[in-house]
Amino acid sequence: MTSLHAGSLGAGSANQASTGNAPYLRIDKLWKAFGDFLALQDISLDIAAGEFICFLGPSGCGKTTLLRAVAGLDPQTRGAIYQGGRDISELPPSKRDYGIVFQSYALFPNLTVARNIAFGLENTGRPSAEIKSRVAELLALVGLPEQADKYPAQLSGGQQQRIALARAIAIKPGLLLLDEPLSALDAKVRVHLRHEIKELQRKLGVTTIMVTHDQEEALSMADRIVVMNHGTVEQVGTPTEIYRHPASLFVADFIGETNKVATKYQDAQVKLGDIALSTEVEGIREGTEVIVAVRPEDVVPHSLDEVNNGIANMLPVTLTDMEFLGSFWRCHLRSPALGDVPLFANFSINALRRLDLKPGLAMSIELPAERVLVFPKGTGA
Amino acid sequence: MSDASLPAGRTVKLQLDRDAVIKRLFMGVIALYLIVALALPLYAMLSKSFVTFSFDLTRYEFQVSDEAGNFGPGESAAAINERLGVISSDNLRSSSDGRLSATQFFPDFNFRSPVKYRLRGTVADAPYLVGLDLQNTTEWHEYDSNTFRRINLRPVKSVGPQNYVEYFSNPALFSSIENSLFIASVSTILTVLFAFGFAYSLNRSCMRFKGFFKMVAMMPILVPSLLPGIALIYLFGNQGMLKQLLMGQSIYGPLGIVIGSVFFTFPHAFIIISTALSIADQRQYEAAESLRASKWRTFWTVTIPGARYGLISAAFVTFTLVITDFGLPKVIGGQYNVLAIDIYKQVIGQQNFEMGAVVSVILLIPAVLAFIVDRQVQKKQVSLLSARSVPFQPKPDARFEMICLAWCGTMALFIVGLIAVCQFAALIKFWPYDLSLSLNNYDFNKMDGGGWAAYKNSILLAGLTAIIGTVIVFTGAYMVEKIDGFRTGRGLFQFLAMLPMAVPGMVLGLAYIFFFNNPDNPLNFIYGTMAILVVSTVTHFYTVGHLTALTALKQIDGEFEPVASSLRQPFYRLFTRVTVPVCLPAILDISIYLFVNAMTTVSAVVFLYSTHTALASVAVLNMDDAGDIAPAAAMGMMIFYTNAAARLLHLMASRRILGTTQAWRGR
Repeated sequence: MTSLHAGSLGAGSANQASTGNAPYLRIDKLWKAFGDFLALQDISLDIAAGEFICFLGPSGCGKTTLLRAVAGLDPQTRGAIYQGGRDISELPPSKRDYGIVFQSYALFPNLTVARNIAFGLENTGRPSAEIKSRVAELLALVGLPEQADKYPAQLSGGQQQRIALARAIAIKPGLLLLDEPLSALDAKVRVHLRHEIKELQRKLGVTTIMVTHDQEEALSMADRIVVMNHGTVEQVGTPTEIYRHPASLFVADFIGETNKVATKYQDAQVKLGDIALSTEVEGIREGTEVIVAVRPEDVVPHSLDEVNNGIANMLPVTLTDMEFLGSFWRCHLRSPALGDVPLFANFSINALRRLDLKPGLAMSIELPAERVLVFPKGTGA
Repeated sequence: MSDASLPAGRTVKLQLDRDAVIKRLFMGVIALYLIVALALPLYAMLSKSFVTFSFDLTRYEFQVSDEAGNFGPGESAAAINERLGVISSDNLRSSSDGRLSATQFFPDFNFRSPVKYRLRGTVADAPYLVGLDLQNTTEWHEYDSNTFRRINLRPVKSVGPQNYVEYFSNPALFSSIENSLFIASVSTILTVLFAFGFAYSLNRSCMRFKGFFKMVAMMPILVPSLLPGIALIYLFGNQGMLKQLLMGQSIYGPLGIVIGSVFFTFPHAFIIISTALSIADQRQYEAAESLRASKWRTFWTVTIPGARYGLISAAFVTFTLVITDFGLPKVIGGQYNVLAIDIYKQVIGQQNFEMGAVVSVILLIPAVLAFIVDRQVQKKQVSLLSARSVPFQPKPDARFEMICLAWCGTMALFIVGLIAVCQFAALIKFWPYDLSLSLNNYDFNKMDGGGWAAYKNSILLAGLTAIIGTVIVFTGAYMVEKIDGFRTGRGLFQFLAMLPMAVPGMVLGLAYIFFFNNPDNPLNFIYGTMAILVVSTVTHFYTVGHLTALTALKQIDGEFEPVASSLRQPFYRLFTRVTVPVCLPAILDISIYLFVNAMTTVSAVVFLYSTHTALASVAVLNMDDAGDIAPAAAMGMMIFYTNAAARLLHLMASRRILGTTQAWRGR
């Protein structure tokens, strides 16, 4: 719960916008118990109208449980949910206002694509001509205008998922719930569809919650990300906030990569061996055991002779190993200051050329003070 | 964070929407059906088996006057009986309508005598009849001689294990248990052996004519279990064609029962073992080969362990079928008594319902045990399947194929042969004296047993059972599988749905007598009608249909319901538009299963049919009983034709449906 505060501390514009006027969806002190196991613990969250929210976390963190509580499929044990100012905590799914897309698509196999999309429109007193034109409109919207008379089994996975999306938005729901919608697709289709879904959501302006365990998906699609772990919210924030200013070691670890070193916090500095690193972190008590975290891409390479150039947070290292990862080089660095722990750094191909990096080279690196993350020991995973 | 605990307060419960209410209502109705058609009758039977009626003479006291009207001292009926020994203790056992004349206690009784009698109960419950008036009092009542002769003592009911004690102390009845176990064990071993060879040939060789053999293997399902008995009588009976082959042994008795049992249980064992063998993993055999294991060793270390659950399951199913079967021992058992026959004899022959109930309870034990073991084994069987298995591909091997062909050919000859003998028997004028062909034996209206009306009744029963049963079974399975929450209710329903498998037909039939023939039961009016036959048959064959429906429903995406309700569509729209069409093949399977079984079943309905609801299968039994064996064979063949035609129709309908409504499949 402390992490929740940390999250809202660092929250940016979107959060402030939502606190200005009433949120569209308010999750208020939600708990979910399965027997003795607490799958959700005191979750509170406000979501503004039109926002795209991702619930992100490892499997078993409670993200799907939270989504199913919002959908009324597995009601919460304690707490309340408000949608558009209406208390929906005890409403059955059919009385709530949302469309849902599952990982399995859940398309009706014996109905054509058009009938699948029309399923929620029929039986509502709409004239059939209107339904027909609405279905055509939706098919065009998801980019599959030619597929109306095919059966789901005749479509590719990506096409099926778009039909499922079209079916969900056909009834113009106030809220769109996406439960790992892209997990069953292969990598290329996934990246493509990611973009399309985001585009569609922006066009329709529908408030959307997506559950995912894929950080890339969350970072690229969400307006705000809710990082969850062990049934609690670790941090809520925009993708850049989450990435640049993780509120906890768990978030830093789960999203992106980090180098971690255990040490002590003293005089607003952390010590690595005999080298003191200055940081910009606040709110940590003097003398606390801490974990220092630095992302590989935040490590700045310098040649050895620059070590005494007056740049702060400089560290002499030896380059022990290099892996080529396409757009950059992953370098393994060792330093007496770090003891046995290797430090990983991502260096651009330019930097490699400029400094003529090769294994065995002695060099120096800079860990910029604003990029040195410090967390009290014993938090996070 | 792990130290957090759930705050106090009320657990959130969703309001029930209309769908949830309707679903619960539906499940409630079907659960109620199962309770009324299964649980309550069984309970009635169970409690009946513990009830005895007897005359308790210590409860009555008499006084008798001299001719002048001066009464002597009172004396209890028990004391009088001890003094005079007029009624033996055996005669004190009675049934619920027993009556004991009071005059028996007074050997010099004369209804013209001026002597007067007084009678009272010594305890509160001491019923006796004066004419038709029931008296139950501890006050003295005075009667003249003429009235006294109309006084009858009534038995009192007591609850206890006396019936069981009596059963187990009767060596004749007790030996039935031994006989039943013997017959069932021998038949099980033989059937599983034959069926395994058959299934192994079909699944593990490149033998020819596999389609034909598969069809032949299923033929016994289409006829009543007693039909092979009739064929065996023609073959090996007193005037049998091949009697000398038995070398003096009699076919009437264990031999006939075992041969017939192998015939009618064969398809059941074959299906189970064949399924077990069909899921073999090619990679295991390749591994065995690469380790240079001999074929014999591979068979014992790979094949048999892989199929062991199927073999165990087949054995238990066969054992249960044989031990609970009644038709075959009735036709060919001769003097050889088995449990199922005992129930029939006690109930139909001696009208001793309480003892029938006792035998039923005893028959329930092996059936329930077999059922429990089978369920456990089935659960394990499922976990054997792995998505990554490579299906086994048999390799051609001429010598092995010859052996397989010989094995399957022999079994096919056995099955087709017995049915052909029946057909032959049905068409022969008068075996063995007049061998000319005629259709006289099909003139059922000239025989006892119900005539053509019985056949029509059977068609009606089978049709109604198939339609009503399928609706009930499938709807019930849907509610169990797709209802949210309501755990206890669903668990209870699931238990009720599985129960019929463990209840032998005879037991169910007898339970129905106890339950529905009770005049206090508001459902008493269905007794003796077609309705009770339909109810009993649907209930008797409920479980297999339920499991078929569950399997089909489990293959449907569990997220259809959430999607439909998020689209604000009622569940019945999803049910009719998606669930039923997708499950149509399974639904057809359930209906044909119910139809075929309703045509052939004898065990449950034999206690429940009335003169105007006689059935073809029962007619086979009754005509055979009356010595009209040829017409019995003819009626049995009528059932065979009908079932074969129904199967064919089912096949064509399935193909059509797969072609039209299931167009989405397999593209």
